[in-house]
Amino acid sequence: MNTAPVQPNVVCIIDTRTRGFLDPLVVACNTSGGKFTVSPKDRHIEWSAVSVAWALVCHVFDKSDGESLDQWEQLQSRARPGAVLIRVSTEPKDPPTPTYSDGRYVLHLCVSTREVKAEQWFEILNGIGRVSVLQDLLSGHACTLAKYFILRRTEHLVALAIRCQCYLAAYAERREKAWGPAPLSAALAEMEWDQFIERGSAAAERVSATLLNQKDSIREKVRRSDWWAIFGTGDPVDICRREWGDEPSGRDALNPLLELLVAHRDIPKPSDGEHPVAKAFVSLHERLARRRDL
Amino acid sequence: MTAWQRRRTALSHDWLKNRYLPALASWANILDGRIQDAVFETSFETEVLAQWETRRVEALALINSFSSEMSPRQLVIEASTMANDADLRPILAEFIHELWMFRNRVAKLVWIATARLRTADAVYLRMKDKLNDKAQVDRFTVWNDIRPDFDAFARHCRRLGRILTRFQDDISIV
Repeated sequence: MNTAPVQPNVVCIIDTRTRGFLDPLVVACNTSGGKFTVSPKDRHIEWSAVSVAWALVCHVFDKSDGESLDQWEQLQSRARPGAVLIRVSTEPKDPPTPTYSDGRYVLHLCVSTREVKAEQWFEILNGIGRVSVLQDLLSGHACTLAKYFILRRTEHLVALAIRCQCYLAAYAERREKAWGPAPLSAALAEMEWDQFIERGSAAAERVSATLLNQKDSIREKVRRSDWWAIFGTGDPVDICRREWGDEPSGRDALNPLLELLVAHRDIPKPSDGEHPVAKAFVSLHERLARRRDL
Repeated sequence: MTAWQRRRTALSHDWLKNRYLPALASWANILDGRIQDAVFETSFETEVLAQWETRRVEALALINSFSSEMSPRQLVIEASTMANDADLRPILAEFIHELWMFRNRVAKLVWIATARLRTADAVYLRMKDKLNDKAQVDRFTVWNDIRPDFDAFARHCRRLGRILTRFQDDISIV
């Protein structure tokens, strides 16, 4: 694979439907102290600018969007070798993984372009100026730009968080001032349990009453290791690490729970000290919320 | 991507934001005399504006199906491999659904989106009635008369587009 370094400089913006959501990219270039130069932004494609640009950021449409011209393919073939092409959208649809095609790097932004602020564009431009980062993206390895260009699925983390919520609800008990028991109270607060119980809808009331009525039976079942069997034949630790992504922050909090699951051991009842489910849930909640914010 | 997300993308992104709203903006430019497009002028009412009539039905179905199709409830049912938890599954699935509805203020979001859709539709129908009433009159005279309605319709369509982007992108608990 030809991975000759490219010289960061001219960024060409292709936006056939000017709405201003690529303005932060212009700001990033204009405040980069000359490190990046933006070519004039125009609704019409300036092919001479395309052929010399180092990076092309493209908001274009394909035939399925009702356009007769498949501009994206043309841009890929007419960009210069070594160029980095980034396709952006306000609603990315299952974006393809990064590729290296005919000497050009082709990336698809996985997040809505509206969410990418000037400082993040600066981070992206800096990142794509490094061959090592581009190679990490191509091979799917962790790197600073993975959050922008590699869609990270979190199905198992979500399923695990749901199991945690069920467990927490089953063991929740009203104490004098707050919901407990104490080892679960932080996790219950995180899942807004008290508001749900006190200000929830009639349906919420009905559900919580059912939970309460069958408390003993539910508690027994949500402790059992087979209730937590959501990973199929996969290794829970590997799956969670992969879905968690590049930022290890908070991931270790899952370990006590995952150790129990790997060993097929039942979950302990809440007692004094940290509880593996509560600890895991607080961290999972934070991680899943972070997925929504860059 | 779930079926619901695909439907939203097709409606909100591909049609509303990238085709319909730009077409409405072009029509405003024509009315203002900023651009001329003879083909567009003759086809706008029947081929562009009227698309609303089928799309509003899709939009309402999309909004109404959000809480069932994007609820994490199905993850409780699908992910379970326990043979003996059949009695427990519906209860916990319902609990997870209600908790998600509550924490994400889903009912309120659906209500607002429905209200925005109905508001746009009411303005559209008023505009359509006026256009039909004056079928014999010079079209530009008619359009100048109903311009406030047209501008309001375009504004409500934009507001509908904005609220549709506030629906969750994936099935999650947060």
